[in-house]
Amino acid sequence: MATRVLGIGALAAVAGATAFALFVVPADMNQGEGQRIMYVHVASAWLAYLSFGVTAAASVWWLVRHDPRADAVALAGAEVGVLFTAATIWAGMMWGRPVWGTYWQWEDPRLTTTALLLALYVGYLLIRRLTDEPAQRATRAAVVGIIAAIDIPIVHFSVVWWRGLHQGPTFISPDTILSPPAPGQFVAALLLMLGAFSLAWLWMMVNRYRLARLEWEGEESARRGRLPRLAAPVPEPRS
Amino acid sequence: MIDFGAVGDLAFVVSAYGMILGGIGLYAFSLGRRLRRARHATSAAPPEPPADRPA
Repeated sequence: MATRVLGIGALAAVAGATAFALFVVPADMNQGEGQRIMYVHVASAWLAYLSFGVTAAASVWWLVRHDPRADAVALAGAEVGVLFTAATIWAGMMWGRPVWGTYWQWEDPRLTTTALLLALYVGYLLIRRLTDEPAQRATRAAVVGIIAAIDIPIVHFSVVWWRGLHQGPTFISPDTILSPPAPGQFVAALLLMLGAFSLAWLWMMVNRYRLARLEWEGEESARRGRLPRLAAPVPEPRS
Repeated sequence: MIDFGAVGDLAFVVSAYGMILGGIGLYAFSLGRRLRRARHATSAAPPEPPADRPA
């Protein structure tokens, strides 16, 4: 019931934030209408980082405790993170064409490391399909989930460390948004979209976690159904 | 290079939003369906035999 309310709330919030971003906030003086794409781009990017951070933390949790819930959280983070990374890249391309004059540039460190991030977590999801044994799969995935997380700070700080097309980070510090002072409506649209997407993210994480738990339980009960026959105790010979 | 015409006008931005939100919505819909199927499969599964009964 609570998840259903969350889902309806997320849907309404995303619809409201989208209407605000598209039809209430004025167009940017320099970037024109294309600026509106930034609201979904930044919100998606932030949630992609969060998702993969959750996957890394849950991967450590699995390796330490071997708790199936940890593997379910890690899987939820990776799958939802892939979705939001794809949304980030797509939104960035749609913004880049009118503003930069190109959809993509491989020489740009932010773009290339983000594409690598997407590839790493698609790889994470593919590695999970290599084995049907839940514990072995979770361990392999946890190792990949931790190694892949190294790319998160590289993506974020790539615009600080190297020169490229992409502008500086939006969320490195609050004064980056406010200085030079951005019009209040722009900041409000960004924060509204971030809040709305966060609700949608939470709904997806909860439901993907539940699905992963059901899948794990299904696999375990299928294994238990097979194992008794294989592991049935051999009757001792009567003397 | 594919030319979409007036890139950067409001119609272009609205279509970009449509694709992004449409993709997220499609994932959310498919996730809900997968979850319903998994719940159905779990509830339809026959009960496991007692542990003390030999298979």
